[in-house]
Amino acid sequence: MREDADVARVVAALNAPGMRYRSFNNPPVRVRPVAPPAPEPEEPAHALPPETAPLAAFEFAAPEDLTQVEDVALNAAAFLAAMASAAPPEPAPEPAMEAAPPEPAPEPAPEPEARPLFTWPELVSPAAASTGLLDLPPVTAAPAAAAMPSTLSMIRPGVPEPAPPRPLPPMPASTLMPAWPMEAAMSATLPGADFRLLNAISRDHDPLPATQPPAAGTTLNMLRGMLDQMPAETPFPVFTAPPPQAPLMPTQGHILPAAAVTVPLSDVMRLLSVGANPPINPFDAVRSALAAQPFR
Amino acid sequence: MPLIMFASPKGGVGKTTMTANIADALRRNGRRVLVMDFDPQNTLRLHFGVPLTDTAGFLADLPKRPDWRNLVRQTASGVMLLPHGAIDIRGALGLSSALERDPELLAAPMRAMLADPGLLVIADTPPGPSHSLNLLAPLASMVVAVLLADATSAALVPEIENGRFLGAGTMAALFAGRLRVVLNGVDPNARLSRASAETVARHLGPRLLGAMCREEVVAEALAAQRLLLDVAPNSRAAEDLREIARGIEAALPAVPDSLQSGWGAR
Repeated sequence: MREDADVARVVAALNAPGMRYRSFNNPPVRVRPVAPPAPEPEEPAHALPPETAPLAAFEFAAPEDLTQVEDVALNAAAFLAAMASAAPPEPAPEPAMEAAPPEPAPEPAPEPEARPLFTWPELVSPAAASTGLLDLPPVTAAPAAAAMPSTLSMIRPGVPEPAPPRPLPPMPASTLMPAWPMEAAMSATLPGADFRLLNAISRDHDPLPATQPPAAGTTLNMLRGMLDQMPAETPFPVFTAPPPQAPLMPTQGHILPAAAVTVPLSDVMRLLSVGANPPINPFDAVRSALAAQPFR
Repeated sequence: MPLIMFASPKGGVGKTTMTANIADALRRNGRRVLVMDFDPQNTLRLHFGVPLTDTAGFLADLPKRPDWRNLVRQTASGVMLLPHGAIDIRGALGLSSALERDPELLAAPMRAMLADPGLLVIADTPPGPSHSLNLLAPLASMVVAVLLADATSAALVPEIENGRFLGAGTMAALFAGRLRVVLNGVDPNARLSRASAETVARHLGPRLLGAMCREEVVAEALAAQRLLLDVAPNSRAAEDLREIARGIEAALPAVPDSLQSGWGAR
């Protein structure tokens, strides 16, 4: 949880009102000694030529000093006291040549459990968590996480949250069909599926009616319009030729013999086993169409 | 009554986003819609404003044979939602083996849902092969495959056409007849996107149900945990969405108004 603690610390620092610079409790890289206030220069800056006065008055400072803006006046004495009370920085690791034989590293002290920034509601019951099995009870009402803001509501606050789904009331018994015995299922006509084994075998291969003509302005209409404008072509051979039906043959025992036995051979394996001409690559159809496309 | 299934052989194509917004569009057309999440990512709920911490769902608890009616949420959009539920690797393996042993575990509640004549069930399935896909494909009135307008999706068209991504064998080819394709993320100003979309559109013809342009408001709507037609109803993406919904509506049987006032209606 080290990362969460760091994130929480940074978020708290950034949210501090009026504070524009924080060290986030990190030890400073370099602490400059605070010098006593310098005596007033004998020659005031305004005595210099106007164009050189700001440059001459500029004092090079460390980056941390540059971040000290004028409205945050740091008390030097308080700063040194705070640094003295802070934990000293970790010593630099010794060179490897002088290092003692490796010892088992002591267990780091457990960090205090930081409060998480966001928690998910826990749905797993303690009993299920102890057994390691996910045994979720059926959720019958909208869970507490329904209050989680949706993405759109965060970026567009005016958009109302969609109503969470609610469980349906029990279905009236009159509309339910009892579980069918297997004999009844085999003999009855399924009203919804319109499918029986014999019907399917004698069924027309294209029983669905043709689709309606597409509406103007849709993507499908645009596609068909482009096809109408193109010259008539013979269909690409890969879509008309039946798939190669070469007999399955052993692969001489050195090319995926297990696959040759247990799964249908792919076109590549068929080529290897039969030695036929390579099948037509379906990608050639796309490449051919792509070559005919104009650049826009 | 009908089951519309959204599937894809490839992940990350915007299938869940499309499912949620199509369900909302069909609800606005007067349908009573129940949308189900079969994807273990359990993210469909986020489109409907369900909090992240609300991890209850149907599929995740399926081995315990829960009553799905108790897990349905009435969302602010009016769409009824059946989330998948949070699941870990042990739960996923348990669910897979349970469906392998007893497919009725899922088939029975699905039949109960589809027995409601006024209810339109929309399913969001995980990408690639899955038990859910195998069990739902025979029940589906329409399978909507979502593809991105990129080269990979165009290269996957043969897989989609012969239905191999729905499974292997003859039945997959039969299911492929109910397959429609939606292109997502079409950018008319990008050459590759335009070329890929043209390739798919030229090949699929009327089986291309619609195309949705790439627009920032779609992602912004999810960021707000709201739906596109609610956030930006006048955007081009919203108009594309309405067109896809009209295409689905055209393939569905008309439902009398009396059936729109049943359970879950608003």
